[in-house]
Amino acid sequence: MMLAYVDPGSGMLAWQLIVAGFVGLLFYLKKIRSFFGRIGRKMLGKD
Amino acid sequence: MRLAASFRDPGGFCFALGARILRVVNPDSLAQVDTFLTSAFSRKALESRSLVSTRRLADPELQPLQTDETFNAFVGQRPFGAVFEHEPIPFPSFAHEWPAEMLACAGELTLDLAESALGEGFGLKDATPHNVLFRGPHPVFVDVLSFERRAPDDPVWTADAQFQRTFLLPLLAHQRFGMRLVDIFTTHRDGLEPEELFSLCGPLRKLSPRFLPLVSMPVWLARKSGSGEPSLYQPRRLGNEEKARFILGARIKSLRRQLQSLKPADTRSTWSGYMDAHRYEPEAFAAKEHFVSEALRELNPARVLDVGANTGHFSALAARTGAEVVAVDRDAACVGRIWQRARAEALNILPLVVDLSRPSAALGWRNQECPAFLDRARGHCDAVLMLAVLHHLLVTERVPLDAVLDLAAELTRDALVIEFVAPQDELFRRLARGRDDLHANLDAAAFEAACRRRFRIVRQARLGNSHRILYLLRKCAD
Repeated sequence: MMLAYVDPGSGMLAWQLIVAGFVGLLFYLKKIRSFFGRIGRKMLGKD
Repeated sequence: MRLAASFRDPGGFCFALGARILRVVNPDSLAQVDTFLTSAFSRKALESRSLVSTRRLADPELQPLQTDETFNAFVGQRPFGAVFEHEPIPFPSFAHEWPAEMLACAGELTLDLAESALGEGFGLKDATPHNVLFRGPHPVFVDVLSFERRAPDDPVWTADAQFQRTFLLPLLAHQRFGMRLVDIFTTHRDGLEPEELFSLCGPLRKLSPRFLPLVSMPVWLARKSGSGEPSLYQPRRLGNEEKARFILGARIKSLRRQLQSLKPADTRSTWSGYMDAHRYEPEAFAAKEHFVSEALRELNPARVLDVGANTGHFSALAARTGAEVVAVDRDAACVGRIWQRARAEALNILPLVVDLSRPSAALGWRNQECPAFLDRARGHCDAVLMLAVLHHLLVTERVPLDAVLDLAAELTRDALVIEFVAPQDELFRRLARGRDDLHANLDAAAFEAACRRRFRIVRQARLGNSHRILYLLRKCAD
């Protein structure tokens, strides 16, 4: 059986990497949000 | 003997030298251990007692050891970097003896340490219940070799899958399929694989929020990657430390949320309501409490083993006298309640799921990784409580009275408080299910005669008008 040679941990690792990819995107979204937040505060003269 | 699972670590191993616990660290790993032990993170973990107390032995302390026969039997002529001494944990226990509450608590500690370690550039290279022991109801991380320096821009926690296998999947199996942790960990050293749960799931369950990330996605992805893409295992470097920390922090938070959702709710079992609905008349129960309290006051034991502890009423009584209590019961729901109570009331009780008629056997490689329960318990306690448990052993388990008393005499160093339940007792008769003739010769006189062969009867008291008598026994000198 081909499945007998599947490393049982590989799916968990692959899933962790996929999730990490999404979280990585969130990281940039958070950066962009805080960048615009800073600009917004500057424009409103709150800084 | 070498201690649980420690021989697998290439960085070193642990062994007991009398009452001392020593860890030999190999030259290659020494710098790492030293850096870790001098870090602010490890100092904080040591102060909070979540990490086992550890100190490096100085040369003058090592010299007498090097002429010690036992030390040399373990260390031999192999070069070693240093020897560390750990604080001994009074009664080592293993995941196959823990209720789900304790496994979840050990998982929380593992995540807490993994998260705090990140702040100082350390990581946990493994995440398994074998790294945790319990001091009373509190978990202690005992493997200092598990901490390693990690690349600051590495977004992957290598122990993630092991954490899922050994904490999350067993808790999920327990919560959703009623699998007993004792069965899981007795047969699976490294926990459950997602495939094992996947095969038990129907199509809808495979898509449910709890099973999809923990079970179904890993199984589908593993099948898709066939024999495993070697590139999957290549180390990842982002070149951006902040991003790597963000990803890892989010991952640990997600594991923590999953762990939280798998913590047992208020589980009930046949026996967990026993203390609320017990068969004692109020005055009989008061007499029992009085007898046990008096016995504990008189004995003033440092260590007590409560066999068949149920929800821990008498374990708590013993713990309040200052004793360190090991409370065992076969019912995991009861043991979970003892643990919750011990935590809530700050009682020094270590509750374990152990059936005295089928106690945990020695497990692991050469049966030496996890010593048998009886080998750990024999002579560990000054007093043993066997309250409302004798009739279960005699009737349900068909263990002869002499064999029960022999074992009790082996377990205790000094005293035994035992409740004799006569065959006329309502519960005894219910357990006997009409086989009353099997116990026709059992009465208080026969019980006392059997006791006298191993113990001295200090005193006894009948519990109200019941068919139950409590005895305080002390071991005869050999």
